Amino acid sequence: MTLAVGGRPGAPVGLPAVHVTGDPGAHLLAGPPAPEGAEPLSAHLRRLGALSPSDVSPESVLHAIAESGLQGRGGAGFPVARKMAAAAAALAPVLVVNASESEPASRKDRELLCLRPHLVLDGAALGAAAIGARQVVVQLHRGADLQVRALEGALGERLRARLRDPSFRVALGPHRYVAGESTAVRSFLTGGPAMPGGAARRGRGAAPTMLVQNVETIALIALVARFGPEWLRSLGTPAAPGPSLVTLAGAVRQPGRVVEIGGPEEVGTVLGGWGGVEDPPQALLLGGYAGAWIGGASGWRLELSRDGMGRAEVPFGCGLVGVLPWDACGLKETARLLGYLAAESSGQCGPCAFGLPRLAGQMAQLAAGRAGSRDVAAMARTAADVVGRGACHHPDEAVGLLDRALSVFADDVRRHRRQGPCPRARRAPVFPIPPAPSSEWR
Amino acid sequence: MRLRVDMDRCEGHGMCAVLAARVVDLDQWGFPLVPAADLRSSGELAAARRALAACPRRALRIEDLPEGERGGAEPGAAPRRSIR
Repeated sequence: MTLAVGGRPGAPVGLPAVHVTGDPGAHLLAGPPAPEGAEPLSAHLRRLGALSPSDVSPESVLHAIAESGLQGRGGAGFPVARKMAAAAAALAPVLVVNASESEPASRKDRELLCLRPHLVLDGAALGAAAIGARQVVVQLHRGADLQVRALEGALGERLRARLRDPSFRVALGPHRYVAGESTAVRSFLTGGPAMPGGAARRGRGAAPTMLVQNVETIALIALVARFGPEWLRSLGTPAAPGPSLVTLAGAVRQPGRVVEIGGPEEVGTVLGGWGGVEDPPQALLLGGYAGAWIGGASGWRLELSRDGMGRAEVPFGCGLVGVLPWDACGLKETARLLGYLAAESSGQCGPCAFGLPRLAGQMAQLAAGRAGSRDVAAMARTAADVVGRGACHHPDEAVGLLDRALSVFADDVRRHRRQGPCPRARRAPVFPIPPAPSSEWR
Repeated sequence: MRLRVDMDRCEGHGMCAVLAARVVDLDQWGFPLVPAADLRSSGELAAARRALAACPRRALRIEDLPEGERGGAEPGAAPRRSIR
């Protein structure tokens, strides 16, 4: 076991409260309350029982995952069993636990890893054995000190307990938005830049087959292996089984609070009803900073599940539920989010590298009341030149956000064009934008 | 047969738009726009092949996906048959 450790010791542990809806039994965040921090190995084993990879055959784990209908929790929702079967057929596959969590306001991967490290490591051990991987890499962004410390502690406990684990390695990649995308993770781990597309897609002869799965997916593997596929199917929705973690953000009482949803729940319920928000929402930002807007009233009643949101054509993404209050300007927020997404382009693909900054600039002009109808038409032309033309979905998602902004805030667009900037634009930003990224990609 | 661009390789040299003008258009920044649909004639295919051979970044591909796998492939999955 090797541990690459970076970052500063002594960073504050600021884990917010965790609220579980649905059946309180077997869940991702079941167990001791959040303020107690990482669940120790002894407590984890008392609560869930030991399940070593040697207790179950790889075939039975693969079968259980396939039967459960488990889908990846990194955003794309791809069936996990199909990816596992493909990796199992490779010569020497490596399992990658993707805990990069690039979405600036998302905290669910961090909370899961910091509070239930042994659930994640159990899932990794079982998943690795199921595909015949002898090595597991936990991928994090640099500066993820809380996660590194939780992992160090948990891996130490497992060594002392002589658990039959695969070889675990922690890898720290650049803190860039697209660096957590699975092809970017693959590229980084094979010595390339942490950029999506290219190197991973085209493959290098000697590179090992890597199965990249989100940390929440990995933890669910540990629960499916213990409680069976029927357990997973008893939670969530038929089209997207299992519990889901979401993060609350924006004008909520507890930004950064992680909520586990056990069944189909309306957004308003998950937000904690009217007591969970500071004001009735003007609009909701769902799925992440590269997600989609929905009007406050319809968003409040929206079913917060992968299929419920699919029907409303909003992405579940990383499970972000962001609240935009009535005293904020949706156009200005969108301009800021687009500026962030533009700065986070890896710059590999021309339409994304040139198009996103232009769209962000055009949106800022519109928010500032300096754009006419011709400028809005120009924005649509630029969007058309960007969408569908990247090596990854980053530009498409940015255009999706813009598109939804123009329809959800259509009245604001008209008002800004006629009357100039709105007074709400002076309000402090609702969704925090991380500091400008470094140019480091390795 | 379909012409594809690996946009993360393309640097916008524009050779393709000259050599295969009937197939390739350029966007406002000079990056190629290729038809999403199959190439419609042997003339278009020949033009696409000329462009592919001349691309200084080898960013063009001609793909022949079997029926039923079009558009359904996992992002990042390798195409079935690909001429580079």
